[in-house]
Amino acid sequence: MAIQEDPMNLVISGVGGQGNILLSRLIGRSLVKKGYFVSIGETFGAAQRGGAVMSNVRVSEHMPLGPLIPEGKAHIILGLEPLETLRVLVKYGNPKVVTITNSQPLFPVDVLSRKAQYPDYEALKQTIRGLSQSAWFIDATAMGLGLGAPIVANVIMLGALIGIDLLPLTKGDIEAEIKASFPPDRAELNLKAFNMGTDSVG
Amino acid sequence: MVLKVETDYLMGNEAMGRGAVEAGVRVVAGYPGTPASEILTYLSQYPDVYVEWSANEKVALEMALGASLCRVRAMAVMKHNGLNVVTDFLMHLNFTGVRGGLVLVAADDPGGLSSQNEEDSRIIIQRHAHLPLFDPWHPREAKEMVKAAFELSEQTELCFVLRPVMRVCHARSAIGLEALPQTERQPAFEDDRSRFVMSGVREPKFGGMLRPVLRHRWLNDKQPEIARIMEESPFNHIEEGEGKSGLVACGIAYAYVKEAERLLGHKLPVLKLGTLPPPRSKVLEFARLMDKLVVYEEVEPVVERWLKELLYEAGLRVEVVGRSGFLPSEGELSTEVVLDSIGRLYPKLRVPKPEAPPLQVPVRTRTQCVGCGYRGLLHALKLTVRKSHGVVTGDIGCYDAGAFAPLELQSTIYCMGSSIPMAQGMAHSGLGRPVFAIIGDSTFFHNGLLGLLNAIHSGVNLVAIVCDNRTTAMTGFQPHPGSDTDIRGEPAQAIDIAKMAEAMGAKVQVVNPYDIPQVLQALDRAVKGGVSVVVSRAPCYLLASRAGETLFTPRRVRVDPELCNNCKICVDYFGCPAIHFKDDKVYIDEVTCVQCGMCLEVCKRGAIK
Repeated sequence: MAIQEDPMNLVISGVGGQGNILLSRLIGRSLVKKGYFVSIGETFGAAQRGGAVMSNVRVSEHMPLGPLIPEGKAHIILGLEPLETLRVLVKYGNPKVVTITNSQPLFPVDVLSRKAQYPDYEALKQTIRGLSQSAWFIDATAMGLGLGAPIVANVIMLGALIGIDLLPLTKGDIEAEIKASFPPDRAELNLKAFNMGTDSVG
Repeated sequence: MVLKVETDYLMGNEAMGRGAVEAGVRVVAGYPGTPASEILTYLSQYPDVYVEWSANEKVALEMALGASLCRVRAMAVMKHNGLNVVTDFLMHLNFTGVRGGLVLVAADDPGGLSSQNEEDSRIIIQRHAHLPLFDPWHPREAKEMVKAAFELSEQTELCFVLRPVMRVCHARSAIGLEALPQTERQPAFEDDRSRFVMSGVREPKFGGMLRPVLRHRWLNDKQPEIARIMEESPFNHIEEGEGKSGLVACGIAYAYVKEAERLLGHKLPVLKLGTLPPPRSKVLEFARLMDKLVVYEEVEPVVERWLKELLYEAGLRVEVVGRSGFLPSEGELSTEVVLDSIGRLYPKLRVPKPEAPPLQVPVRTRTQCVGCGYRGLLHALKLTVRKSHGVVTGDIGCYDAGAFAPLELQSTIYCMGSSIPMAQGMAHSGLGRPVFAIIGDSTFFHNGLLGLLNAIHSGVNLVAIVCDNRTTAMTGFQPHPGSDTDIRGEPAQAIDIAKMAEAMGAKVQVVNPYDIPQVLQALDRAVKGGVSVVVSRAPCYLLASRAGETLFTPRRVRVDPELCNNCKICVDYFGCPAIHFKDDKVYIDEVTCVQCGMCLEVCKRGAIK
């Protein structure tokens, strides 16, 4: 599978505890198996504790790359939370960027303690649309609740990412990686979530 | 010939761990700290390697040298703050040298993405201790450097150091794996007291010279050998390009320089450096063709100053600029910083900075996890401090988020273990207000114990709160001396903080942080005089949930809008992310809530049910 632009730059953004790093690892491992040069930069340390977490995923057919995507050079932004999509979009976006956002907001502690304001949701959505070439909004948390496990919202979002078909990966590639990464019962739930995600953009 | 057995997809830290196993390492010790923690976690899968999380970094390096003196290969791993703790030992180790290959990994966090400060470990290692150092740009190179470091350490009898930065430690890519060595080395120890007994005694064989001076001379005499090794090192190279301003790319900066070249579609002259000291003749060969050198390095102008010295001695008049003003003197480098500087060197290559939309995105400060027992403890402490007009000194660990909004509880946070001595100082100042120190269990073992001992001995009035959650939660759940299992999950002797404090003569109370009334009572008693230790004991909620352990009876809660008078105590003095506040109404977000029920105790009107 040829990639449309080389290198292809994907940013996954979210909040500590949402499973951001898991996604970049599933994607990275699948791409490495297909023979691509993959470089991933992870910004964590605040993981699990409600801080902003970002992974940079870079794919090339030709060369090893540094772990960080330069500003304004993302092709895809996968946001596990709307404000986190916007945070990354402002820095790494460009008129051709495609965004996929989990529409469920998670309020920062600063908002809860009234030191900052969470933007009006409709306005936030409009801003994201205005800054993206195409913008998908997926209610992944609600879909995860439907499965009895809001925690799988991240894998639903991964499904949506694979569904829009911009990365050189098939559904089967990720399904194989999910099966290899989870014990059987968890794998089943995650495969269900993954397929819900791919269907949501189908 | 090296046999490549397979390729794995590894994080930079894991790649360094793998490099050490391929080099036949036998003893590895470290203390957790972002960005270096996963090196030891990765190594714990190899049964032939002794791996431990030591009480602190100094203990780790001392242990590693002990093993090295028995002629096996050893490694010590830490972040830059740990290197500061290690410095005293390091300033002796450099004089004695090593026997089995000894590698020290000191990881830096330029930009302080996950640290209390930012600093450049190369200064302590190279300028202060005069030890050779590698600075990798990529996980693959980091792995090769670890292997080379073991070989060269044995060849030179010096400790070799790797200084990876966050962006190398936390990068992932495909890494080639080579076969592990099959030959087992027999440990052996032979005495050499003139070397391994560091003391100010005279050496008759050397005309009565004092031993510290003799060992210092030994280290200085090693420098030409080190210079020759770095001269031939594969980790430095020259890339030809168009222009008279040469880019000197050190460590991770090479990634940003290459990225900038790719974006500009233009090849510039580049000197890629991965060693300290830098290779003298390569530097001169490169500099001779240039009018100016720009040194990109994380984070202090170390190589920049080195090159200035070197060119001055060689009589070359080439301008050298970098972190001393031409580039920003603080914070992390990036492709953007490199692009901006190239635009100033070569006006034709100036690219307009992409315009960011003028939007303010609220910051997202980290906090305790929903369900974390520390939230109950911090809430009780907040109430006690307000009532008693107290001051709280803080320390390093998850509970530090109590210093941020909404609680804004701790008034100071410095480095590992400083909470109790600072509280003691406040008490001795004559301030006349109750002082509280709050410190975690791993931090307490690391460097807090001596502070407590000191405070007890001084007979001061203070309350030391030790947050015992059985793990080093902040850095990813590493065990510590208070844990009952080791890095591999095998049973280990757990050291009881409460008993230890009692033995030292403190008044000790043990509380369950989920039981807010119990914590409040304990704190109230503790303020009454002498050194009082309150141990808050409950496992880390995340770790417990993973293990299927229950810490509380799940209680589904909701806010009764009739009883809620919007006093916001639950938001401002408790700050649970599951308690939302919108349109002047408090409500519980059911997706986020884990039903710990602590908030039932927080609401004084009984509006949370």
